[in-house]
Amino acid sequence: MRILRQAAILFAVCVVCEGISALLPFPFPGSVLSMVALFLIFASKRLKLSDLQETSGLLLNNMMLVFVPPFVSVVNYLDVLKSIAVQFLVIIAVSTVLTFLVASAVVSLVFRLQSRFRREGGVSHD
Amino acid sequence: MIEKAIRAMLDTPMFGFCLSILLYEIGVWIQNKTGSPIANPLLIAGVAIILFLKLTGISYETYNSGARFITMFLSPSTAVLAVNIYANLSTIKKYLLPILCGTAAAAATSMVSVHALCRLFGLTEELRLSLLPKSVTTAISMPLVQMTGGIDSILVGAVMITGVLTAMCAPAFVKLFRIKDPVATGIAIGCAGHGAGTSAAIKMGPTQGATAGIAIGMSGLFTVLYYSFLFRTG
Repeated sequence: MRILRQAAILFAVCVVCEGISALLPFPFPGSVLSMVALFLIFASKRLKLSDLQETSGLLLNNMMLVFVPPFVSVVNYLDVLKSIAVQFLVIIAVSTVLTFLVASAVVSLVFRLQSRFRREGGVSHD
Repeated sequence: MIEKAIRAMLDTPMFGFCLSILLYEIGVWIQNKTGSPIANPLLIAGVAIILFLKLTGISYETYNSGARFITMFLSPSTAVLAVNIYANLSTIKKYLLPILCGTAAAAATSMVSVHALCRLFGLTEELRLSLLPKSVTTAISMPLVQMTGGIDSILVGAVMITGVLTAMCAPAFVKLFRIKDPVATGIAIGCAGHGAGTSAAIKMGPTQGATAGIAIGMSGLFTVLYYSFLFRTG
């Protein structure tokens, strides 16, 4: 019952956020809104992490199961994919490497700027 | 008589539900046995079910009448990413500026590079919209693709390939690009390869694992913000 009760709480948050999302004038998925809402609920101490522990663990540990049915519907697009397979893989590979490079470079740059700022007499936050 | 029985079995939604969970479990078992990122449970289960449907002639609609109950958990699964973010709050506060700058820049790089490459190869708009958020965890990118008119199944495949690729190549990238800082490593892996990549980051160390986990949520949030700006209707 505990898992079902926790699921019901989660579903309630999601249902409300779906409603809010439908009213927004830009695409902001209800599910992402639920993520933000749930974070705020935790931060405001309305719920503890342990209140949803079993169900959130279940969902987080098996997240990829949820994507099996939508992935299977690729069966309806096999012809399209066959015709662009090479481009598809090149796009994925190139943009993945670029994203990786930019993320690591920006993080390293910010670290370097932060340490230089501190050395030059800035306020230390540590 | 046998045909009547098979018809009845396929007519209950429990069929698609069982089939999905059974093959996913087999996929998890194979991944645990081999320990290889290419033995991805989603890939194994997805390909096995597609083959099964092709061989038996069962339609996707019949399968999905039960499988859609699994898809129902997509939204709650996205919501509980908040648990990961909240549990890592102290790490986020410690590295707030590098995390914000790194994930914001990476999310933009991913979208711009996918957009440019799709244009370069002359892909249709529908395909471009299906690939645009492909570095972001499916939990966040799938609703974005659905809201903007892309094909969600193609996105799921692209996200999966991205994750597997990142998980396989991350150790080589770290060496090749001479990344020494564990935070930079974790954030790069989380931004490029979401959940599947993060499993590789966890193997490198606790800081890499935690920051990769944070990067999944943060780069997802930035992508959603870019979307709400680029595709606003008002």
